[in-house]
Amino acid sequence: MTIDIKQLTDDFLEGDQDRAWERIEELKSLMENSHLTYEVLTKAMQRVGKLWEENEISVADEHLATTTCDYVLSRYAYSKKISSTTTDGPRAVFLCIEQEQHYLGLKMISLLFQEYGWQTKLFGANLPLEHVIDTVEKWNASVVGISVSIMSHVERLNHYVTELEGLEKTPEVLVGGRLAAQYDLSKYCSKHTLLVPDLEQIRLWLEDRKGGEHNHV
Amino acid sequence: MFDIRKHPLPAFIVDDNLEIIEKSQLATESFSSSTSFLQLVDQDSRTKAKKYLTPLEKEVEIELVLNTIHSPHSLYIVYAKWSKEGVAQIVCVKQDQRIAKLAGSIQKQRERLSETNFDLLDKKEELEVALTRIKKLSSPFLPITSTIGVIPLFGTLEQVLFEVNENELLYSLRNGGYDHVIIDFSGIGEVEESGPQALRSFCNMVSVIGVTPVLCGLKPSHAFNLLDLDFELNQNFDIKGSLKDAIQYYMISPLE
Ligand code: B12
Repeated sequence: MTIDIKQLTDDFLEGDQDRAWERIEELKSLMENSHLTYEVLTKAMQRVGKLWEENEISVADEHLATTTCDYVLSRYAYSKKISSTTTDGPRAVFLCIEQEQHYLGLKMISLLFQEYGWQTKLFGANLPLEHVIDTVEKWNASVVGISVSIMSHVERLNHYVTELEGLEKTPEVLVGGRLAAQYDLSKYCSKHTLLVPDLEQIRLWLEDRKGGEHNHV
Repeated sequence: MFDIRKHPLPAFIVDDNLEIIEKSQLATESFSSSTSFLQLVDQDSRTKAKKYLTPLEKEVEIELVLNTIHSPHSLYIVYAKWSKEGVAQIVCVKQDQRIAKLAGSIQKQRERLSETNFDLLDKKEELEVALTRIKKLSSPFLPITSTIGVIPLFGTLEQVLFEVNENELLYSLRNGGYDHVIIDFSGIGEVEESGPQALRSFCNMVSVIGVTPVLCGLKPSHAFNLLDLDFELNQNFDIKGSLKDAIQYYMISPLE
């Protein structure tokens, strides 16, 4: 059995949290594999975008779809007991670039990291860079994940990368989001920055790290 | 003809290639000067603009993201109406920030609600675990001699009491080589409807593994409840007798 993205999108647009959740919950493959669930939710949100381009819905509808999707995401994490309660895993900080409100993808990535045993901090939109840097230093984060969806925000990316990679204990900087999937953002990054085009790439990266850690211990 | 320049909103007159023929004062103030309307449209709205802003769609209302002087991405509702000559009037109405603000607060509220919802679910689960633990402590198994064991029951006589303990109790009984197991009622208060039936099936299972169940410490009300179910008792010992007497009785005459 597979999930009907069209129906899931409709549930999102109608704000039907329960129906949307049931659709996920009844599929064993989704309940067992969070990356598959995140892919499904991503596809549904992209379909929301397509319907907007076809003049079927308005941005107000997109807001409702977003909160519904967010609910399903939280409920999923809850029911799988995914949380950042470990105290010994490696640390990652996730943030949207200033002014960027497209945070759903970032939330998924943060949950995925948690599932792989990482401690995470997730910052939403509108967080000044100074505050991020402060946290990264004090908390000793080894990874910083940045999400960008809006074209005009990409100009700020370079500044973020330079500042973060210039820290004394340099964290690894990962860049993802809609723009990383559609364009080559390397001119805004350094050669150390990891550009992540999609969920699968970050999953492989996490798998890789998991293996690596075992070898070192 | 009316003067587009005095239109109270950002408005344009365009040809069928969306080249701007004329615009209102407010359009000049809000947008950078450009010869094509499409130039004002955000890159990711352009396909939509091209699709709907054509003479084929005589009258449309669409949302588009436009580049204004103040912001590179501003959401507008764009109305277009075409004349027979292939010229259109386009009026742009900025979407109020209020929607975004409202949506923001709804989002926050929802987050809080779902957190509390989940917290409650959490508490419920914790309670259930605690309850099971209590139930487990409510029918321990005490080996008294090599042939006699005691199960003192506590709390309410109900189905769950047996459900959560049955397996462990039967396991201890089977592996111990007991002849009698004395089920003591003195700690039981209420008897729920589901209780006697569950007790009976428990006793049956105990008999099946070769151990004789013996009841003791029943209060008159308990006895009454059990009789209702015509519970068969194969014991000489008085069911109303105390646990102490029961142990003594079966230690002296183990064959009863
Ligand atoms: C839903 C939505 C919204 C929601 C916000 C959703 C949210 N809270 O996340 C709301 C309604 C609030 C919104 C607002 C706006 N939006 Co909007 N929005 C969308 C829409 C329809 C879907 C986005 C989405 O949720 N995708 C699903 C997520 C899960 O995908 P994702 O972000 O790509 O994430 C995946 C990967 O990229 C990866 N990933 C993401 N981040 C990271 C980070 C790291 C470190 C890693 C490793 C991986 C990773 O993980 C995910 C896994 O699948 C898109 C259309 C589209 N096709 O994308 C437009 C879109 C992005 N929005 C757009 C615009 C213009 C806006 C607004 C400016 C105007 C408006 N429409 O009102 C505002 C203002 C927002 C702001 N200041 O940031 C434009 C952007 C155009 C441009 N030139 O860049 C789009 C493309 C629509 C369009 N065609 O015009 N939007």
